[in-house]
Amino acid sequence: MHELAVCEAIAGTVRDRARGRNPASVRVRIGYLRQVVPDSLVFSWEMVTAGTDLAGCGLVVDYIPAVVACAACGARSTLEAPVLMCASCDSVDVELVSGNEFDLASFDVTVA
Amino acid sequence: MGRIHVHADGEVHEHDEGSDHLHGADGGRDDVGDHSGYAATGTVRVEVLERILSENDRVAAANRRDFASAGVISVNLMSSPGAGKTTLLKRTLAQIGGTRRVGILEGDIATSLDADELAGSGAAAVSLVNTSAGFGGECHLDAVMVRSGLGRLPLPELDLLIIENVGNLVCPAEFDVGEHAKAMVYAITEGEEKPLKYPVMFRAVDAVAVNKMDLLPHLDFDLGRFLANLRAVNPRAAVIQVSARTGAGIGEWCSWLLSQAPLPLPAPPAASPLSPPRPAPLTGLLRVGVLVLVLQVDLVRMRVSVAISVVAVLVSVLDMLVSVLGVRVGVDRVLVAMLVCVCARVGVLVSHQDSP
Repeated sequence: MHELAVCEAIAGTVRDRARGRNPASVRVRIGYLRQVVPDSLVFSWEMVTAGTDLAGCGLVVDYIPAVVACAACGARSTLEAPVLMCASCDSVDVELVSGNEFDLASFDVTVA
Repeated sequence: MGRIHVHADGEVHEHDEGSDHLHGADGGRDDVGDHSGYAATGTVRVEVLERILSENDRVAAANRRDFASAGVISVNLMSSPGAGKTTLLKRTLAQIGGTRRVGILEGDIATSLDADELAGSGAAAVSLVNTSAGFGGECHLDAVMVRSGLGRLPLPELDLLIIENVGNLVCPAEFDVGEHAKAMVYAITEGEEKPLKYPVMFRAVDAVAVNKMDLLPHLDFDLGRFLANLRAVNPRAAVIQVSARTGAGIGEWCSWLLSQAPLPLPAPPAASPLSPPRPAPLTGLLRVGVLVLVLQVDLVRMRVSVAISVVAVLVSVLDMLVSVLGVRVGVDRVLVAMLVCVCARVGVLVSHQDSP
């Protein structure tokens, strides 16, 4: 639902960093635990950039799985549901290793 | 503009101006640094690695500083539409509005209905932020919107600021607005599975007010299952059962609100216990001492040094008197005064030796 606002933020940072160059594509890293729908983000990106200097610039979403490390048994498990629980021993004493990402990773610029 | 580097392993990245980066250790090719590495048409990857909402977070930090300097507790209150945020706030104002100055920052996509209702309910100040002013009506409050609303609130006069977010279980959880604590109102009419369906929101909050408890006998709601689901996504949140309609549990809710202490301001650098409160006389005395020494060398034959020595002694005695009468006697000051006395005595002795 807030993908438009997120895309505005991404576009702002890319414009700032591109400093006049023409980005061909932008790569973002979104964790599984973020409530951002990748398809919806790409759709919003096209809307936000249409008719601007970023028109035609693609958006690539790296969707990062949620991984927890169990303090009880030491196992690492990838979450199938957004419930922070160890898949091996069902302990809830777990630490999130990945899945909270919400980063602008890089962008590609075409050079002549 | 930044410098772009192409490494031997194909990695391409950009440096900010003045960045110091060694390329030898990773086998990078310094010879193709800057702009010589991509003479042919191609694509250069610019690594950014920045939080997408970093600009929001910067403004949120400014809001947090303002809350701290004003000594006001700020709580970001979120819920789905219709869970009872505004009714709970009216109850809250009725409970503590008489003894605490409570400000409300009201976020709504459109209309001032809630803000109008709260303004007549004992709030010290209400500031309305309509998010429709932005792009098509935002579904959340972000730090910039909150900052714009803060300008209409007398922050230093408030004890507690409640930021009533837009009714939505998804977006508000992603945006830090600078609050001290996040709380949400959940109504038992929403079903037991909500924490699992909206884990980001339920995980983000410090407290959950479980509202509409007066309806429990009339519903098939399984409170135990809801609490288990909540604990699965957020083991640490405070859970407060309330009924905004009947007033049950409002006391506990208000206690939680007021226990959210505002973050203290960074402490000013601690004064050294030995440093004198007024350093200017000390350096002045030091100068007098040095001056006396110099003059004794040059003027010793002119016998003026006796008079200077007397002046130096008088100055040092005066300074010691001021120190004793003052709030604090700095050790440094006494030492300098003694040094001046010694200089004066030496000056007197020298001048006596030179006397016929």
